[in-house]
Amino acid sequence: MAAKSDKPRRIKARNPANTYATSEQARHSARAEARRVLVCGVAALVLVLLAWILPTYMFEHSMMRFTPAVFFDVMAYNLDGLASVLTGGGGWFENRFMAVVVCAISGAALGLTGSTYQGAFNNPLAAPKTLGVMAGGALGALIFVLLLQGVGPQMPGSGTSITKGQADAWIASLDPLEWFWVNYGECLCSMAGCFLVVGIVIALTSLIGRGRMSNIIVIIFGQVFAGTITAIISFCRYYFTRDGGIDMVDQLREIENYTMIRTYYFHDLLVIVAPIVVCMVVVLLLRNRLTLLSFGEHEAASMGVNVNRTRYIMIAICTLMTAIAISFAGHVAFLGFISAHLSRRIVGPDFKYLLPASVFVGGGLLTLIQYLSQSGLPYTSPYAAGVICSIVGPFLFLLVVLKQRGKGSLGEWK
Amino acid sequence: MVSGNKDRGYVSRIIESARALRERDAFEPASRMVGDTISAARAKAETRAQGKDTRRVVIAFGLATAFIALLSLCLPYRGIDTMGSGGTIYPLGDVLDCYRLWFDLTIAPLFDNTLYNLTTLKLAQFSQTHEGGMYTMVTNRAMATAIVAVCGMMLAVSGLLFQASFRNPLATPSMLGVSDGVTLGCIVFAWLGNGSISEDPGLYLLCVYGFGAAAVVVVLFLSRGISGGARYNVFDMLLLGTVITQLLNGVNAFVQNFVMDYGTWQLFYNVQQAGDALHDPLVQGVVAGVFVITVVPALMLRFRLNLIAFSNDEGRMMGVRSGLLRGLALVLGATMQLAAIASIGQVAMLSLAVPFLVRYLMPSDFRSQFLGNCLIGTALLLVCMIIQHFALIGIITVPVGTIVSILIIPFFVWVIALGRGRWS
Repeated sequence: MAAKSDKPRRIKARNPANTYATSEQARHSARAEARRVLVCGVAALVLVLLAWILPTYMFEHSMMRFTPAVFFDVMAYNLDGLASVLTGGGGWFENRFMAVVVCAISGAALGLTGSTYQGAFNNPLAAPKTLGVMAGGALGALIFVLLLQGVGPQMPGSGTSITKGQADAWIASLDPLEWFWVNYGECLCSMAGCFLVVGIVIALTSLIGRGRMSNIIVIIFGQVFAGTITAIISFCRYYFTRDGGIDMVDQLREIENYTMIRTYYFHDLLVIVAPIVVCMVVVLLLRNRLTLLSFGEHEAASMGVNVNRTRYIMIAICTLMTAIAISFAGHVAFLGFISAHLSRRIVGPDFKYLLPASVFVGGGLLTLIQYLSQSGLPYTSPYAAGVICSIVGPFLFLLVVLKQRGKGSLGEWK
Repeated sequence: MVSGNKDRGYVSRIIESARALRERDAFEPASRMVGDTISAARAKAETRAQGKDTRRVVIAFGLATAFIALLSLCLPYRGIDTMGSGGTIYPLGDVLDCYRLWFDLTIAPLFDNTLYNLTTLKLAQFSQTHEGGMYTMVTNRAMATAIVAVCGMMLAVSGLLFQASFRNPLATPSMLGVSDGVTLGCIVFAWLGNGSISEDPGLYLLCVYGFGAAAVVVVLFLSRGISGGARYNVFDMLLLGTVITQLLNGVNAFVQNFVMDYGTWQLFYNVQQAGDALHDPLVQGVVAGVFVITVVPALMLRFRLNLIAFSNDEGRMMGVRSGLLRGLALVLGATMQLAAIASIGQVAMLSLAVPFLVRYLMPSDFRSQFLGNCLIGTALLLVCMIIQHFALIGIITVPVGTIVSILIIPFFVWVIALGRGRWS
């Protein structure tokens, strides 16, 4: 022991996954990891701030109008609006403020879910959509569009244009339940679909395994259900386009790619952000169990972790988070996977640091992508944030992976 | 001390892998070592009993498959997007008449010249006693049934090859981006061509095979780069395959949602579900060719392919180049799935499910698995094709791929529930 401490092994500062010879070094590394988490958090905050104050749709107009002076003017204007919102003054900026907050929170929820699933299933291929959440959301949207759209109060004279005053008067005349349905009907359906599919997958798995949940069966069931639902939705789209239901197809497409295009109000903040934050806190409090789970099911059980209960709790909470995030913010497919791997690369495998880091990385990443989709660059569209994520995400992943090229298998998995 | 530990590790690893294989013919040395722990006689008796069981299962599935194929032959051929009447079934006698006529018209003249003069007479006789167009319908259906059977076989075997070489029940060729590459090819075809496969089958095959193969090559190339030159890490490949699949998925979704108008999208969907590909002689020929050059080598290598269960190092210790075998298995599997998707549409789900099911029903040596996969894959795809004949919503037939994925779920649950005692 003494000989070892005399000649400490050389440790690369960049790789916290190394084993440490002395407790001092271990402590040092913990400090380093905490510092990295802090850096992630600061970066995410900076991104959110930039998303607030940078001008959107800046390349959409002709370049003549777009001079540096205009750029800084717009930024100052946005900053004024932001200050007014933060001091409780409200004003025109409220809408954008909410949109960015919802976006950051949704991204954080997806990132956290990705890391949690990878820990709970001990499988690097696990992602938020593994259990069929996305497919469930799409199924819920389909059911809403097909069956439930005409249910509930309809706006008078819909189809013809009505003034904002008339619309406001109509909304004021609704009773609270009707108001809730009008505002959140399709989101609720989407969420119900998410819970339905995840519930079926989990129930079937545990029924078949007699209460024991097998990783592989869960993931395969998730894939199979997701594939089936995608095929059905695709067929429905085809049927509608052939049979004169174009507006239904448009609506389906809009709900699936709904990414942050809604107009958000303060009550949206209560419905979306509050539950997600509560869920995140619970998952973060339980994160040490995930570290034990990464030793393997039997090892974790012998260390006193109730593996199944931990998994059920994690799945329930994460499904709630993801369902809210994707029903209100749109289907952002790849974010959970990519931010889980990114944050694992940044802070290492210890869940004590990994989960906070993935919250920040996910939130920052989705904010960035959302801003990109609104920047007005060619081939971007505010509807396309989810799609942009699945196009940009893989390149980001490859970049991270290629950096550690030649070091064998990815990370310490397997 | 140290070397002793090493030896013990080596022996136990061999015993483990031998148990996992349960194959005693292909692997003599391991079975001799296993002989130390299990008594040789008992092992022999077990093997024999297992062999008998396997034979019984294979015969049962073979009969079922033959029956289903016969059923499929009794239906008239109808493409995905034709507005034919659904649900017709020809009586078996009439169908047999058709095949007799076919024999008389094509095969018999080769041996007997006098029969040649009778062909017009026979056709006239046939058209008097049977409804018009039936002969064409039945012969087309026979061709379609043969192609679908071949495709089912190839899909299931490709899944088996991938799962065996990755040693992961999640692995399918679509993980290397095959089916998403094909979808991209379909998008390109919907733009370049006029949207109908039968009018430009060459371009269709070029797009579909080109993009599918390109996706696989990119994944293999990148994973080789990342695993570091000579090392060939299966796990990296799986992860990279997921990532590239996601990329292709994103591009496809982008083009479908934000670039295409509805008319082009309709054409694309028709092409993606391989609308009239089954009907096209060029596509049929290519599928038959691919079948011969992939399934036959897989069949010939069925004993050797047991060895891909070993990792590269273990294989080298035992004097086998398992890396080479594994590479061969991957190329064969990917080609099989590519050909199947190109001719009957998005049915990739089959190659995930069928090998998974067969693992519960058959012993785990490659030969029985191969047989089981061929039979069950064929039977399942033919059943889906029969169901498709009756699944007519409005004027549109539900594509085979959709039916496959709906039908897979109950089947899947049933078989996993069957094997739940054995699940570990």
